[in-house]
Amino acid sequence: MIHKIRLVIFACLLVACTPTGREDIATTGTLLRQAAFYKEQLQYLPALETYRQAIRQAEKEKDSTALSLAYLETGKIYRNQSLKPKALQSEKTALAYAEGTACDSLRIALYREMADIYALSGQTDSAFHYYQKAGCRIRQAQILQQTGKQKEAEAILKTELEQTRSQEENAELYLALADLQISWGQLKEAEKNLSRLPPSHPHLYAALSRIAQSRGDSLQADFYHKSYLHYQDALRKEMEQNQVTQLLRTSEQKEWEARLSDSQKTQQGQMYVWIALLVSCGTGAWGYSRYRLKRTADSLSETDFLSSEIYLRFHRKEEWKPTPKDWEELLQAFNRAYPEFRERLKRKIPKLSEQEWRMCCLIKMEVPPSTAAMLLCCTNQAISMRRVRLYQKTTGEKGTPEQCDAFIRDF
Amino acid sequence: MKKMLFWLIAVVALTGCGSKNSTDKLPVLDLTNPNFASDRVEISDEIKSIEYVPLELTDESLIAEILDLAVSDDYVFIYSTRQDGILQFDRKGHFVRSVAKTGNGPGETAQIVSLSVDDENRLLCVSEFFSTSFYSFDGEFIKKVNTLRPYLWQYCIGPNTMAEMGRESIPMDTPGIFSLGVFNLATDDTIAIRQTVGNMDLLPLKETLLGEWNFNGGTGGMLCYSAGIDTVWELGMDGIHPAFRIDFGFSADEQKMVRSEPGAIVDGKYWISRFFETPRRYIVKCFEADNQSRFHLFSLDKETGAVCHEKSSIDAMELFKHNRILTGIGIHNETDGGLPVWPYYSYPGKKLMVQLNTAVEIEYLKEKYPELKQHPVLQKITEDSNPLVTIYHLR
Repeated sequence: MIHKIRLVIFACLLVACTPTGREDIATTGTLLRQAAFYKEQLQYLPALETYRQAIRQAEKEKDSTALSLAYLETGKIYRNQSLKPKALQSEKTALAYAEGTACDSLRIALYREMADIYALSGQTDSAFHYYQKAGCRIRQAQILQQTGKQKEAEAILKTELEQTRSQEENAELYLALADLQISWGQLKEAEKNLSRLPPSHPHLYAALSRIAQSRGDSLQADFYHKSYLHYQDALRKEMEQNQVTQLLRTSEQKEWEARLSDSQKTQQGQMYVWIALLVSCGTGAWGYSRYRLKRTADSLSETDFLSSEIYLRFHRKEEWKPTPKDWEELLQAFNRAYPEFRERLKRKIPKLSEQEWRMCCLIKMEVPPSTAAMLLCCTNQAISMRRVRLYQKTTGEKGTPEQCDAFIRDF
Repeated sequence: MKKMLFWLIAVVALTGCGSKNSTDKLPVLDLTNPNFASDRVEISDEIKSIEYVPLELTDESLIAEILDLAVSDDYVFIYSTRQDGILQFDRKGHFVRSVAKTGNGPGETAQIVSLSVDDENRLLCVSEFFSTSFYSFDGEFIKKVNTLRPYLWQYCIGPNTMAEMGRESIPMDTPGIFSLGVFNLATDDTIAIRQTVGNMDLLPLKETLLGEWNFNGGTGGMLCYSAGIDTVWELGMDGIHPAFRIDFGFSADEQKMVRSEPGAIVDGKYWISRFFETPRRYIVKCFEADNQSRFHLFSLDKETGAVCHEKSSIDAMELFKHNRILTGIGIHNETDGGLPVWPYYSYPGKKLMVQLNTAVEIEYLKEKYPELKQHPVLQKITEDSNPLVTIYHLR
């Protein structure tokens, strides 16, 4: 029997010790997101490793879109690492997986990426071919310009402009056309095309500066160049703002990771935390309620005192001399409003004279020095001197009457 | 039994408290000791081969005064005055392109302070005050990371990891000021930081300044030394540790002067010009404050602690007109009878050292050492050539 009970206890312990948190199996989507995060942070080694995991997972799930996406992004990392043959190999593999109409936009991104890699490798023919497939007419025109085929470059851009496009796209086409024309010396045509750009376009001023420079007008060129720098600066600020947002996102990610690790704590541990939290909350609430009660009582008596007849009497500015009875009445009311004040002050200044104690009360009550002088039957100067001496007695430092007032009020 | 347990705990505690490189056990280069193992500093036993990279001269790649350089497996990057951005050459010396040009747009820079290469991620890191821009070796701009740390120099020592040295000549009690730090730019984590270096009991914090930084590659990252402090620190992926000590023989008053006055030099004492590390040695180039024309070379054997000393015959003041970093004052090259060896950067971890000599300096050295005129690479260098980069592959 005892043996059986032991077994049951052992089983219970085993169950209790088993982590209760649900084991998350990373999905392809999660892996792709994690890899993209690493890539964004330029952590290329973990990014590549995570993309490899995503590829393995996608192969198991036979998810060709995910496979294509993972290979595309892997290729982009290789491109950033200037490993062009590897980048091209990845993009070709990605292209093989990007089938069907659902992958149309992905295929265009792949063509563009491959064209960029060919352009970086100096293989202009292949780059032109893939830019054509991706529909990047401006890049096609630039390649034709590099190879000296100016008319073909111009024709491509003009044909593209004939088609109905958004205003932004048209602006880029006009700018590219103007750039071509500036480099051939067709400055008037270039100006005409630039006039179709919105005045806020940052590259407009760079092109205008080039035109002015081609005409030998360095002053005008300088003016346009400064305008260009101004707009670039605005762009830079916008980009920096985006980076700040990115930083915030990073901190959010860290917080998320911390939360994830917290959630992996055992249930028992969490229970202890809850119990501790409940006990501390209870104690805290009890203590706080006591403190509030005490504070309410104190503040009530202080409020009573501040509106009492004796308080107002000692604030009267008319000439009058308090009798010992007035003082007694005042000090009793004062002690009720500030119960520990006298004891604490006595501890600080054991040889506190009666006159000094009265002065302290008047300071605490914020009685003006001139009124205090009248009440204590002395001159204003004497009051000032007493406050200086009192400050020295309490703090051991030389100070001003105002410092003494501040000290007593905050005491 | 209780006694045994006590001793066991004591031993464990003492072992646990020991730092990686206790200052007492550090190799020491004693500049006050006039006895040396040899009157010649050697390095040829560590050089396996030498690769010469004469940098191509075009209108775009004309190099004036070099401010910094970095080397990757395939490229040499040069930051020069009077040129826009960083000049990229291949390892044969052919000019490839300019990157990180001046401007306000994405990928453009304002004032570059240093450049380095992230070998693992294969990226060029261009540091400015408060930001680092990353470029691919194909010249593509990838990302700019902003930071608020007031560093003076920043160098990549590992994947996404930067070694940073604080601003010179600023009181150490200034908010945000630090001496040395290792930071991960990707995760924004602080791997290690030292607010102060050296003996901080000499002067109040507000009167203590960071002296001029001297640094070079180290086995684990970067070696950094601030003028007036006797410890050379290593900044690595695992933190900041003392690497070796240099005994200058400063009195307390001299130390106070050096640490509170920017650029102060103590008469009668050595002053460090540059240093570097090889797998076997630490090598230091110094001058005496009283005679800044004559330089002294010291080597410290890491294993035996033996110190070798050599006095250079080159007049530093004359050489300075041809190359302000005084590469020509170096160790005799017995490997191929080429230029004196003094690397701009040493990467002992990668068993590599990179040296940079200007053409006019080479011409000057040819006159001083006529045997250099016979060297096949140096023969082709004329006064109008671009600088020559020499890469030493170490054993």
